[in-house]
This record gives sequence, C-alpha cells and structure tokens, in this order.
Amino acid sequence: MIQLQKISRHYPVGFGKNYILKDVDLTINEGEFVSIMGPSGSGKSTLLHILGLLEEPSEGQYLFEGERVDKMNEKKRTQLHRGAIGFVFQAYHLIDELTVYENIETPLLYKNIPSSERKSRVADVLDRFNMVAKKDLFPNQLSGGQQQLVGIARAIVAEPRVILADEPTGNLHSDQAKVIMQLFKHLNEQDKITIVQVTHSDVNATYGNRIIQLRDGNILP
Amino acid sequence: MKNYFRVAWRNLTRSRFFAALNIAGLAFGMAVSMFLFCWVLDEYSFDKFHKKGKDIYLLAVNADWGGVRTLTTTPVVLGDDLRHTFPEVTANVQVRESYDNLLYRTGTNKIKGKHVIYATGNLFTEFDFPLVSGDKNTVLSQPNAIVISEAVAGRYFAKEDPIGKMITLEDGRSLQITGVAKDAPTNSSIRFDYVLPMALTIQADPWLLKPGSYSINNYMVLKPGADAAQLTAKMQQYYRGKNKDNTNQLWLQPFEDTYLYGKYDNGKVSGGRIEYVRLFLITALIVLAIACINFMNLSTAQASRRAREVGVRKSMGATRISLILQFTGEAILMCVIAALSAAVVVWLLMPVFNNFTGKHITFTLPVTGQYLLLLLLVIVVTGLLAGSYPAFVLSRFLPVKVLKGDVSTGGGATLFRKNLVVLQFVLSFIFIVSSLVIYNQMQYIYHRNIGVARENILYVPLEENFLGKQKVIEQSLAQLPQVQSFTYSSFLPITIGGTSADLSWEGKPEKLVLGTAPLQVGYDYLTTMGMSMKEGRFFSKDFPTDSNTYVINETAARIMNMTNPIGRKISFWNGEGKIIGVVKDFHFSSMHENIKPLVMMLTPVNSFLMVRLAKGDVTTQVASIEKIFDMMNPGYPVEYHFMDEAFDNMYQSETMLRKLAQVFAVVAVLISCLGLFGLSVFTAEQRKKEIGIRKVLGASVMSVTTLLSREFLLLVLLGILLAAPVSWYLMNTWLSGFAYHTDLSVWIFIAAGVVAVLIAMATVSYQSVKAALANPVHSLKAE
Repeated sequence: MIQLQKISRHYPVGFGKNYILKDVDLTINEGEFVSIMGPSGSGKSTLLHILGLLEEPSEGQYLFEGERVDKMNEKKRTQLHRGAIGFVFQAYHLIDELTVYENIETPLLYKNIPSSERKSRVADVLDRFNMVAKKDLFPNQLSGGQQQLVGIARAIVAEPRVILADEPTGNLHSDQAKVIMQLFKHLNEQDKITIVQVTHSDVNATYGNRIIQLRDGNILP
Repeated sequence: MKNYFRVAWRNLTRSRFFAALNIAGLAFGMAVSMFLFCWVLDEYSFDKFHKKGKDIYLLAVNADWGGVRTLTTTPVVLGDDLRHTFPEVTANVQVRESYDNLLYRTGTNKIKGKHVIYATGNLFTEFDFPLVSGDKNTVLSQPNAIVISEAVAGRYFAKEDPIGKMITLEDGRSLQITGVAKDAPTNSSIRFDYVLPMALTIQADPWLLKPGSYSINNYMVLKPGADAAQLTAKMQQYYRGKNKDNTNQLWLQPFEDTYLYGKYDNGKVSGGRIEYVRLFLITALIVLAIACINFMNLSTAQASRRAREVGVRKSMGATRISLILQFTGEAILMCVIAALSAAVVVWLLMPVFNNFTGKHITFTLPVTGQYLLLLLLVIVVTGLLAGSYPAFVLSRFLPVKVLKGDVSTGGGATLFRKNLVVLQFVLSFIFIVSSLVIYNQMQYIYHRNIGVARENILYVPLEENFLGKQKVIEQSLAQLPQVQSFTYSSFLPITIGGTSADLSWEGKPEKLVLGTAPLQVGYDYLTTMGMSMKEGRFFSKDFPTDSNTYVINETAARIMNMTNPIGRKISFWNGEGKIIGVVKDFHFSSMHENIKPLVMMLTPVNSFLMVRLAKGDVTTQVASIEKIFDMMNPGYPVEYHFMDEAFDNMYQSETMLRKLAQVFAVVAVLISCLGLFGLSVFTAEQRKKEIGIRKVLGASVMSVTTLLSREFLLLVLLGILLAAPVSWYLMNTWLSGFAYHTDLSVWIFIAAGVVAVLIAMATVSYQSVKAALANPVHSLKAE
C-alpha cells in the first residue's frame, strides 16, 4: 500500500546539508498496524508527515497504492487527504470554535458529502464512541482523553484507508492511553484500517504488529 | 457554508475585544466616508432631473475686455436671434434672476418675496418644473401673470385656491396668479419662489433689449442628438459675420455641467465646485483606506490565533481556495455589521451634516435606492480589500509548521503590517498639518488689518423708492445717539465687484488695458468705514465742486506712476477731474486676490445705506434703528445685515474646508490609533512569554515598557518623516491660491509631529505598561 524508496529529507546548513531522513526504504502493507519508534530528533515525525503528504521529501520516491505521490500537484494531494488518509495529532488539534459534532463533520464538508449522509455518518461515529451526549460541547469543555477520542472520530469519519497518528497518547495519562490504543487496535482489526503511529512508549508499540526503529534518519534493520 | 458562518460568528464573539475594535474602526471610517459619498452624490445629481437635460445648453460668450472673461449671462436679442436662425435650436428658455425683493400685498398681508426670477413661459415646458395647478403652456403668456411656488402658496394662500387671485405690488402694479409650481428640488440650480414673465422685466428695463446688455441666461434647447460642437461653429461664423469688429466668441456649455463647472479661465472651463467634489471624493477614499488598513492589520495580527485552525483544516483536505473563501467571508460579515452600524450613524447624524453643509440630503432607514447601492459597494469593496490580504496570508500557512507549534506569521507579513501602520500615519499627519495650516491662514485673514473697520457696521440694501424718504430717514438717524455716522455706497467695501477699463490719465501707455475698481460713495464714507488717507483729503460738503473730483487708492497712484498725485487730472466715469486724495490701500476683495487700483467718486445716494454704530452690544442698539428703516417700506419686514457677517461669508468655503480638515484630522488619527492600539495589545499578547522571562531575569517595568513602545514610535516617526514633504507640497499649493498668506513655518510640522507622537505614545504605552506590570508567573505557567 505504501512504498518509500530512498526517501531523504534534508535542510541546508551552511554549505552542507543536515539530513533528517536518509535513504529510507519502507513498505507498509494494507491492514498493518505499524509503530514508529526512536529517540527525539530521529526523524519520526518527519517520516509521518511525509507519509501524510504534509511534507515533501527532498529525494526519493513515494508510492501510495502504486501511484507516485511525491510529485503530485496540490489538487491531487488534497484529493488523497480527503479520501484516503486520516490524521490524529498528539495535541488533538480540534477547532476550538466548533462543537464536537461540527469538528467531526468538517472532513465530510470538504468531501462534499450531502447533508443527510453527513448527519447519519457523524451520528454513527458518535454512537460508536459513546459521545452522543457530548456532541454539542466545545473542545475546551472536554478532558484530554475525550478530546483525543473526538480527534480519532474525526479521523475515521471520512472512512480513510490509512490513519496516521503522531504520538496520539503523548498528552494523556496511562488509563486514557489504554482506551485510545484499544480503539486503534479495534479499528485495525475490525475495520481493516491501516494504522501508522509514532510513539515513545513500548507499551503502546506492542498494540501494533510491526515496530520500526528509527535512529539518526535511518531505519534500524 | 453554514459551518463557515458559524465559525466566523463564534470567532467574533470569542475575541470580542478585537472584533469590537475592528468593527468600530471600520464602521467609523465607513460612516465618515458615507457622509462624503452622500455629499458627492448630491452634487452630481444637480440639474440631472430634467428629461431634456442632455439637450439643453447654456449660451456663453467669451469677451475680451483686457483679458478674456466668460459671461454666462448674455443678451436677450442674441438668444432670440440664434433661436430663429438655427433650426437645430428647438427652443430658447430665457431666465433673469432678480436680486430685488418683490414687495406686495395680499389682503392685509405685506410680504417681502425672495427668490424672484423672470422667465419665458417655456420654462415650464422645456424644463421639468411641474405645476401643481395652472396650464403649463400658458401660465406666463400674459405680461401681468405670476407663478408662485408651492411653499409660498402654502404660507400665504393656505385657505383658498390662489389661482386667479390678484396681488398688488408696492409700486402699484398688480399681477394675477396663474399657476402654482412644485418647489424646485434642492438639487436644482434654477430655484424660485416667484416666476414673472420675461416681458414684464423688459417693460420695466427696456435697455435689456440692447445688443450689449449681457444680463440674462439663455438656455438653448437643441434637437435630440444634435451635435453641439458643430452647431457652435456655425453659430460663431454667423455671429462674426454680422459684425466684423466683433472679437467675442460664442459657445455652448451643457446645462448639466453648469453647476459643477462654473469657473472659467481664458474662455475655457477651469473648474468650479467640481474641485470640492473631487477633494471630497478623495478624502472619502482616504478615510475608507485608513479604515481598511486597520482591518487588515488587526486581522493579520490575529492570524496566529487562527493558524492552527488553518493547519487542521488543511490536513483534513481543505483547499486553499476554500480557506480564502472562508476568511474573505468572515471579513465581509464584519463589513456588513460595520456597514449597518455606519448606516445607523449616518441616519442619526444626517440632520447635523445637512446643517453643516447646507444640504438637504434625505437618508432613510432601511436604506434604499442609490444609497443602498452605495452601501453594498462600500461593503463589497472594503470586504474584498480588507479581507483578501488576511485571507491570503492565513491560507498560506503550511500545516506541518503550524501543527508543530510554529505560528509566527513570517517576516513578510510583519513587515507588511508595519508598512500599513506607517501609511496610516502618513495620511493622518497630512490631515493634521492641513488642518493646522488652514486654521493658521484663517486666523491670518481674520486678524490681518484689511484697512476697513468692519465691526459694528450695519448695512441696508436700498430699494428704488428710497429717494423720496431720504431726508426724513437721514434726520431720524442723525438723532440716534448710537449712530456714529452713516453713508452710502455702491458696493460693500470688502466686496467691490466690477472692473472698468475707463480710467485714463496723461501719459497712459496706449495699449494698456487697466482693470480698475469703481466705487461710488457718499459723504462721510471715510469715517464710517474707518479708513484713513495717505495724503490729500476726502470728499467733503465744504467743497461743492467735489462731485467731479476723484479719490484713488495707493495702488492706483503707484500704477499711474504718480509720485505727487494730488491735483493731477484723470478721467473716469464722471469725466475729467482732479485727484483730491489718496486713500490707504484696503482689501476690497478676498485675500485670494491682490489689491487692485480703485477710483472713488462722489454719488450721494447709492445701493447701500451703511451705518456705523457705537461700540458695545449691537442687538440692543438695533431696535430703534429698525423703526427708522421701517419708514422705507412701511409694513414690510426690515432687512439689514452686518458687515462682519458679509466678511465671514466671503470665506465660507475656506471655513468649511477648515472645519472639514479638522474633522478628518481627528477621524484619521482616531482610526489610526485604534489600529495602533489593537496592534500593541496583540504584540503584548504575543510577547507575553518573553516579557515574563525578562522580568524574571530582573527587567524593570520601565525597560519593558520602552521595549514594547519603541518599535511603534519608530513607525510613527517614519510616517511623519515621509508625510512631511507631501503635506508641505500640498499646503504650499493651497496657500499660493491666496495673494496674502501666512508662511509655512517649520513649527507647524513640529507641532503636528509632536501631536502625532504624543497621541501614538498614549495609545501604545497603556498596553505596554499593562503588559510590563503583569505578574510573570501567570504568563509563564500558561505555556
């Protein structure tokens, strides 16, 4: 599903280059639950951003479902964002001015889904996450764990094939983290959603079925 | 879409302070510019309501009387002749404005009618002045007919139908009311309360039929679509053909232009009210621009608060276009709110504005017609202008950066914002300097010794029947203790109109055409006006031969090159005569013009009776004088004026300009400060952490305040520096329109600069001090 071939990412430093990622080769198959681990500054987040098309690689090829995406134009990339990829962030990144319901609805708006279908899909997700009672609250009225639930709900409502999660439990205490990780596992097993997460925690990493170790921009064998 | 509006609305209510600041600034600017736009619209609407308007032209003649002068009053016979010679001219409407009042009675009422015009009957068929009653084709066909306005009809003939009623003029003639005309709209340059037949005035003043009497307006109505330029050429050829020596030139000015383009130089239109219209239009746009700049500034400053939202939306598939639409939509929403508040303000204050400008603009809520169009235009233009930049900046954010926590708006945006602040202060400074300079010049005009003691002088325009009562009135006036002296004169000494080329003297260069101001005066003129002699003496009853002598002013003596003028002979309107005195120069026209040569001659009774009153409270003195004036036309309202008021009227447009400049200086500074204040609040917010750290490290309140304020003050100073040469140029140009003016001193610029800096400092420092005083513990914990 995802194929990275000799992906590098570097910044110019003086006359030279500072590599964040160097010649990364990585294949992720459909239905996998991958955890990316590594110390701070090893390039985890950059790798995830490249996977999520939020950042462009400096070198190398990126194939998403067999299609070159590293050279895609803005429009096609947006299409992919809307259809295939869902994001979950460490800091939740909910829109403060929108209610829980509206936050979840937003990706559907960008997909131009008709209003009645939007309603039923958001209602489904709310139901599944047991958040129906909270649908009219604003993010700042929720606890961190609940906010992250909304974040995940928002990521899956558009039925993506991949969820990219950047330290999804980084701001949560362990009980909340457990709930979130079980949810990911469930999504992976029941809904067959491919999941790539960046994490610091060994415990969280064990929820997945593959661990990728990054160090200094390279994948450890 | 609904989603966007919801977010926009919640954003508004969430950051109430910024939203209020933003909307208030915008509404303020919109209101001010809407007033100006209303004024401009009203000016442009002048004379545009006539159906045939596009085909009506005013006949004008360029006459070379020692310098080309354009006359828009032309001979009766010329109009008639052209009308009958050229088939392209379908009608000729002749109008003579009368400056005399119409004294008449109806029943026991004695009425002094104003706004009297004489016109040919087709005034009501060719122009669109509808009649309420009467037949428009025949109302003025009898020489003793009179048409009155609806207002007059309502005031004096409310109880009965005025049609057919006779009114008796003071001089014994009687007229029959044949029609009642709807009041001419306030945006008509032809206005009247009484319309009398042209034939009547020709009967009274047969000289009007002389080919040389340029005294009426000839409105030529052309065939629809006729080529005026071609016709002008044909007319000119015909006109010259009749008299080979005639150097005058005919031309046609479109009637709809006459109001706005009423100033002529060298036989061509050179401006007029249109100059003010343009000035107002530019001012309106500048004020709107300052308000827009504010909006852009505050919106982009807030951008970092919105940056995360942009990042999230983008990572969920929002396109840049959709974000631009969202933010522009928000801007337009703000504009709509601002525009609605502005409309309410305009509606509430329109009476004040009308009072101030002498207009009759009706602005109603809900806004309709052209004003609705105007409002929509203002909304769309400011919305797009003010909203597009923040929209582009915001939508440019890269999600990765933003989501990583980097929300700086980038050096470009900050620099842009700084430029905007500088621009605002450039404009504000120009307004401040202008208002100071105009104020200065007005002070100069009012306090300059014009050579006439204009205070405590009362004057009465005289009617023709005065001669019979002269003796009685003079005797009664002389008995009053408060009357110091009185005299007669053909003009007010401060507004002597008319020039004559008739002055000649021994040794005058043959080719020289000298425009001389003629002034006919009575005895005691010198003392009554508080003038003084340079040499020689003034006219006196002790010298019976004074009626063919002259008194000239210094300028005349200088131009005639007479070092010792007393006793020299000149010839003027009273024939050849001796100069008996030279009066010290005084300003007999506005300060825009240089003092011209003047010749005074003795003519005991004239157009004005002028009375010098004792110093002190004028109002109490007037009562007994009124009684005497009443003898002139017993029973009619007494009309008298004060000379210092006439002097003020001379500078009406300058006074209005002064007030406007002051208002706009205040408006510009206020809006700019609103923006500056918002920015300083924002900066303090953004640097909260930095300030906290600095304070923990031992920075004093003072040093933090300076740190925060310095940057803004630098911007203001830069603005001042840039604005100084521009405002110097503008004001220099304005002042050079006055023959007598103050100097453009450096102090004005320094004063304006100090004012701008002080205001800016006060605006910024409040926030800086507040930020500096804040407890660093809170700001650091918040992170």
